[in-house]
Amino acid sequence: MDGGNSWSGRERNCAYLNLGDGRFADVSAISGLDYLDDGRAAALTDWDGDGDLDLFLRNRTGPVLRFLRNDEERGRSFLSLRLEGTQCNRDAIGAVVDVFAGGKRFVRQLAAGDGYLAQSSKTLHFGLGTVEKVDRVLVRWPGGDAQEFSGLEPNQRYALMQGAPAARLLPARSVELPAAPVAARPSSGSARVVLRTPLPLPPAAAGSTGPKLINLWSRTCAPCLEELRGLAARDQDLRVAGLACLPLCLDSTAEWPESEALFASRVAAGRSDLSFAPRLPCEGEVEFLRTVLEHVLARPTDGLPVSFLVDRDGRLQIVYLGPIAPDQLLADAKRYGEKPPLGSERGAFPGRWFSGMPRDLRGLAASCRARNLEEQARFYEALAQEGQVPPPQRE
Amino acid sequence: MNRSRSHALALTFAMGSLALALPPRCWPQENAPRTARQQEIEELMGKNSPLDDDWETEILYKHADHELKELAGILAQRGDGSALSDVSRFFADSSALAPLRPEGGEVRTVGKFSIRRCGAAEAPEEATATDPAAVFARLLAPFEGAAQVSVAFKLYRVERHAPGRFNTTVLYQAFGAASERRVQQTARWRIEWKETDDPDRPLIAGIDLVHFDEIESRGPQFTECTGAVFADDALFADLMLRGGDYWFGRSDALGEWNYLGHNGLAVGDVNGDGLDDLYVATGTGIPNRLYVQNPDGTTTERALEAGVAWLDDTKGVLLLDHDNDGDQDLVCAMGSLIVISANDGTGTFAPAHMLRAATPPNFYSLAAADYDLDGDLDIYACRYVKTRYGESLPDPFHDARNGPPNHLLRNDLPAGFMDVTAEVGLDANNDRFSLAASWADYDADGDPDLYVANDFGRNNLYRNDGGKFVDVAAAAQAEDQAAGMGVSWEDFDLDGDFDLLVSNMFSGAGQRIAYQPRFKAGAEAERQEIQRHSLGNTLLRNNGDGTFADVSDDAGIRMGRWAFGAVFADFGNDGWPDMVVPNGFLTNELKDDL
Repeated sequence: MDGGNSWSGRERNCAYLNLGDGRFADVSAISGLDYLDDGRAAALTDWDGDGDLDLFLRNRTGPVLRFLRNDEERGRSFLSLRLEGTQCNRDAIGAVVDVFAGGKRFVRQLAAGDGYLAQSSKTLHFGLGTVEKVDRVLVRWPGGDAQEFSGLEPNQRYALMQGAPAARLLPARSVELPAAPVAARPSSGSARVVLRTPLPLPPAAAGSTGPKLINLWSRTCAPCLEELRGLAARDQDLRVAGLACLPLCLDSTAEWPESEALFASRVAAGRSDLSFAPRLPCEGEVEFLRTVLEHVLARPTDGLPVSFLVDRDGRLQIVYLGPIAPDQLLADAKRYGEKPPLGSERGAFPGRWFSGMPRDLRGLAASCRARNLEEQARFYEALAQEGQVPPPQRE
Repeated sequence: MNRSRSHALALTFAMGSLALALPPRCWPQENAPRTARQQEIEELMGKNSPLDDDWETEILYKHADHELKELAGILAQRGDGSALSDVSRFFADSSALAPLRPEGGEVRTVGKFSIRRCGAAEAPEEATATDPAAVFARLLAPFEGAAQVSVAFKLYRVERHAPGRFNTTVLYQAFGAASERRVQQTARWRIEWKETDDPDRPLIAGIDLVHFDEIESRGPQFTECTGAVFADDALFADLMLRGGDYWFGRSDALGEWNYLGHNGLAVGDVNGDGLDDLYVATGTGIPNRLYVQNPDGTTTERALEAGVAWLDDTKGVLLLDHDNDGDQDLVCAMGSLIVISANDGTGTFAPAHMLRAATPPNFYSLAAADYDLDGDLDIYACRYVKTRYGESLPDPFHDARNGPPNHLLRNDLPAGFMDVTAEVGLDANNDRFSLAASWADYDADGDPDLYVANDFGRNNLYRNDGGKFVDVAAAAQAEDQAAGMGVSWEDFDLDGDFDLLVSNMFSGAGQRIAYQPRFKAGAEAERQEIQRHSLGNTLLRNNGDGTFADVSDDAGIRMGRWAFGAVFADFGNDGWPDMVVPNGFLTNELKDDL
């Protein structure tokens, strides 16, 4: 499922060192920053409090988040300043701070948002190199006057409040974080896709009342057989949960019904009294499920097995790619089978949707029609007409 | 070679063939009729690769690149002399090699780095050598004892200068570490190639050294502690060790696709304990994460309890005190909405304002400042494409004016936020493909000015004149017409004013093609604009008089690959801002087709 060409992929992140004379040196590899990640954003903060700027990196590829501890040599001084506005905005965003030290003037401004999609710490960090004494600090508050602070020592943290007579010393803190690199988690072929908005299915596809699992499988697909065996083994639990299993075999009619696979699945379960029996799909049934899959997934798959959890009212709730873990299915049947959450609480992971998002039922109708699924096309057109879509959450 | 054909190449290298990069079938059926122009651009973008075309230099590139990759493999094995004797097969008889690791030069110590630099001018004259094995043995001598050496070449100019001969400009990079001692070499070489009877295997006739850096340090500057900081998050492996390519086929297509990974992050102290915390924006169906820092530097993930585990695709995020009540509120760009959640002072949030754009395009980067100096923070929000990324085609691609508008939202609390984009003059040149913006008072007149990085064309520098804005980018020589993706302001030269770092795209293919004499022949202005497009990152020095100077070449910082969020970051801790460049566009299972 992860195929496709790269485009300027596998590029190493870069780091450039300021040589102080208008020129920089490429220190990408030697600094340890040259990850192959598809990097997007970087945010800076002296996270561990040891007096240099650490980095959070946000990537497209996994790991999508990295923390890099800066191991600047000890003995380089710094000054750390936290501003608070009283006349200007309280964050003092836009304040410009001059630190005069060692015959140089170091200027920083307090920004909210820079780079790309990133915001760094509001604590202003001044690296001071070998400077041993800070002469003075000048804060130009946004929309206000400049204010001078004196008596600040290097290697300390201060709070500077607009209008306050002096800088306030903040407690020192330095922690040791151990090296702990991470790597991308390898892909697996399976996934559980909880629909953001449930999708009503036409009565023919939804079948009888009650929650059900429609499963597409083939006798030539080993994971399919394993999955069926696993479900068969939990037949009693599925019965109790009130979940009907409808395995649809994609193999040719000639091999039906004495399918080895069917036989194998029953034998494997050690019994022949299963509550569910694989059957052949009706005309257009698989075509329709494939159309639904393309509608639901941004990148549909041809892989098997694939399963559809349908609630008691005939709405598709969850798509499973690859084999289902029976325990997950039982939990899903409980949560999504009878009275599924309609709104913001749905999802494969704990969280909330802010916005509702209606499905493009007209688009789905058109896809059905393009495949000569006329009945289904009419169903979705009618649905779109009636606006029988769960209403958006907040919009 | 007709005009549209040459346009095709420009599009192919600069934009990337997104239609190829993504599986074609996932693109929606085209129902709306396309204009002839759209059809042309789409066809040209998607279907041409320079190698399919008749650019001879791209064929030469392919062969030279193949040889250099093999050479790099041999050099990386370094070690014993027998391996290096093998390099002679890449060279023509009596090839002339400059000393690739010259003596002398200028030596500087900055932080933990010791840098020895030889430019073409500084390199002392030394006799050219003809024994490649000896030259490379000397080049690689500093890696003696290194457990592993990496060697890479990047080839970015190709020109035929004589029958059977061509020149390439090549970036050479080598790195190795022996226990604590680390060595990196970065050099630019001009390689002359001689073609042979076998057209696939040109031989190196000579190498000139343009630039050479050798850097040593004890230990790395950065050590990854990701696993320690996020050890508490039970879903870290599920959510953060997997990328956009994974989620693309594994989540509901409703809403923004997760494929491209344009989700940001914000640092701020959400619970007022004096320690920075981290909010991480994620794609559709993946809950945003709030990592609250513990005193020992580890984190506790508490987005759900804090009320900010949004599942909607979230791009730009900011932590700021929007109502001046002394705590950090959260601003999220979710689709065409900007949602501000108010902090109750303990790090728990509740949505307080929802700002909806009048048109559907998604918001990207956010940047806040008090532009009208009335004591509260206003928000500027960028927008990139009118539909989905990769579907809205820039036209013309090097100076596109068919992007969606950005917005300035004025803080009028308690009444709410007001869209004042037009009222303050930010509707000028507000039709580009904007990815990022950042505020700074570059003219030191006391109010914040705004720089906007636009892909496919010119950037904006909106000078703030007492609450009204004028786009002075052209007059200030700060347009940086290219593939703008990120903005960072710092005083890199310590002269007291703010300079600009703009993320752009560095494309070897783009530079190879756009510098061919026949590329856009007869349309010199357009040719130059397109040449700029793939040059890489830009450093604009503030001249202090309202204008900027592009000093990227002197600074030597262009090569940032496909750069997104390059930022100034004084990691060397000496007060001279350094740079960090996150880059790389789309890594998939298959390698680049270019």
